[in-house]
Amino acid sequence: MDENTKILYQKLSLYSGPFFVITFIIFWAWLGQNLPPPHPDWPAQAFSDRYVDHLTGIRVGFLVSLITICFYLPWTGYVTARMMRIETGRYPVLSYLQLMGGCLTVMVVSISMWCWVVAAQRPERSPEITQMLTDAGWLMNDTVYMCTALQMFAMALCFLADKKSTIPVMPNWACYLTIFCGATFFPASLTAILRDGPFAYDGLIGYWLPYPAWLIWLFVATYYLLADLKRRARTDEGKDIVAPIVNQMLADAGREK
Amino acid sequence: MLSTAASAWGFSLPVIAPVVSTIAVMVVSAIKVGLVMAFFMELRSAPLAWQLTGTLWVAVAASMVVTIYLY
Amino acid sequence: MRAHPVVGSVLPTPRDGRRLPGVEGVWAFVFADMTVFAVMFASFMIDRHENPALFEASRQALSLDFGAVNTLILLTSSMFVVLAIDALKHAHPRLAPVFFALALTCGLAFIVSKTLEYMAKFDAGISMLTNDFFMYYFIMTGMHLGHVVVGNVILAVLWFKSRSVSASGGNLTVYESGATYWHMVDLLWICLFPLLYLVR
Repeated sequence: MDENTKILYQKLSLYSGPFFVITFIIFWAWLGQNLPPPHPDWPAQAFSDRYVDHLTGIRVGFLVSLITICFYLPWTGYVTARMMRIETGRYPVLSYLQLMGGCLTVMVVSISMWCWVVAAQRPERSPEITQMLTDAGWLMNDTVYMCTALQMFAMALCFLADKKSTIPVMPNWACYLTIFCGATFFPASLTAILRDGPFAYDGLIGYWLPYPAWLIWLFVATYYLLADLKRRARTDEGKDIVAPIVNQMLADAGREK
Repeated sequence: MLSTAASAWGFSLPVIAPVVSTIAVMVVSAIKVGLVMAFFMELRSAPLAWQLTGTLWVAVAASMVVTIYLY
Repeated sequence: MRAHPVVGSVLPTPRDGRRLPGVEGVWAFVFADMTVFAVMFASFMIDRHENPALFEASRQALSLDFGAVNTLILLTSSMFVVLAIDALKHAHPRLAPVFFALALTCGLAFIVSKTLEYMAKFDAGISMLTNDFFMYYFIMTGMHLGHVVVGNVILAVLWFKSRSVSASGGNLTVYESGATYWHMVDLLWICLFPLLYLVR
């Protein structure tokens, strides 16, 4: 693969992040009737009515989102590769943690949408079951967030400890913002207990804080990663960076003997 | 430094005693928060933008609570 | 009190003499975190506005002693951290670990006191689901307690780190960042205490 093709795939990987965010907002939030989300304290019938009234939108919304959520994977792949350049050596634990967190995030969000797709498959089924599927989907997202939080923490810690780049990949504040956005997920666990008020799955702290925080973080991170990629492409990374890495590898090999 | 700590301690004392009015408690708290920001967190000698952000937070948080309380 | 000149520190001082302690990122984090808490304060006040009688009756079930003691513990702890940073700045680094250890002790005492307070509530049959007031009470103090636990870990790290610091003072950024976070924890409790225990 020649250098230009490599750079092209790296760019595409990065752009798939915002592409995921935009499709997520259109199909998951808007068409999927999650703007605002259903109220957990509704009677079962209201959940059923919601699917019947907006059947096409919900079906199309979540089926498309189930496909576009996977664009989170190439983005995660690029971030992992970028982190490994900072976390050189044979034990890039933060990079691996970020990689696993990103992959599992896709599964968590997919399973939650899968519950809603199942609910929309037979909207005429007993309202209690539809209600349960809706709840199950929300609680999948809102209680299994730690994979995503760890992904964000690993990324922030790695970029904060960066001693290799002359210009940091992400500025200091963006790294701490990443940690903050990850931390906003924790109160979402309360959605499993409270069905009304700000901590429920349609509430201020249960929905309007963590979901935007996640999407905004992805945008901010992509912005800086793209700038970093352009810098790397411009300075012709091959010349500057490969030599020190080869030296490092030779030194490592020497030490192991 | 010690005087700051002492003044913050002093401010915390009337709060323990039975409160005369909620508003007084809120104002005292806001002042105390301001003192912690200015001296403990050293925002007093920080760049103006950060200092203003701190002041703004205290002002907005305190006025919000008082407004909703009085409304 | 006057702003102290930075002695024995390698930190650059900007031309106008104004300097933000620690790194900028920590401050971004602190203000974002404080904004979330401010939103919760407002949310609490709005729900309180809708049912003042219930909130007032529930408030009276809280232990003012616990709340006040917790306030004093955290303020004292914050003061020890200020003294520790001051010791580092003025090239008395041997005093710093002592102050950090004292601050950590206060932090741990806060956790113990909060646990006792929660246990007393659970024994009285009060939980997060009792009513809206106790929902806010448990969640806001619980989230704050989470911050305290993280803060204690940070204080422990600073304590260990400060034991091997040289007389020259070294780089203060890490200490100042940790201290800023700990002061925020203190500051949030100063807001929570009157809001939950005193507003009537």
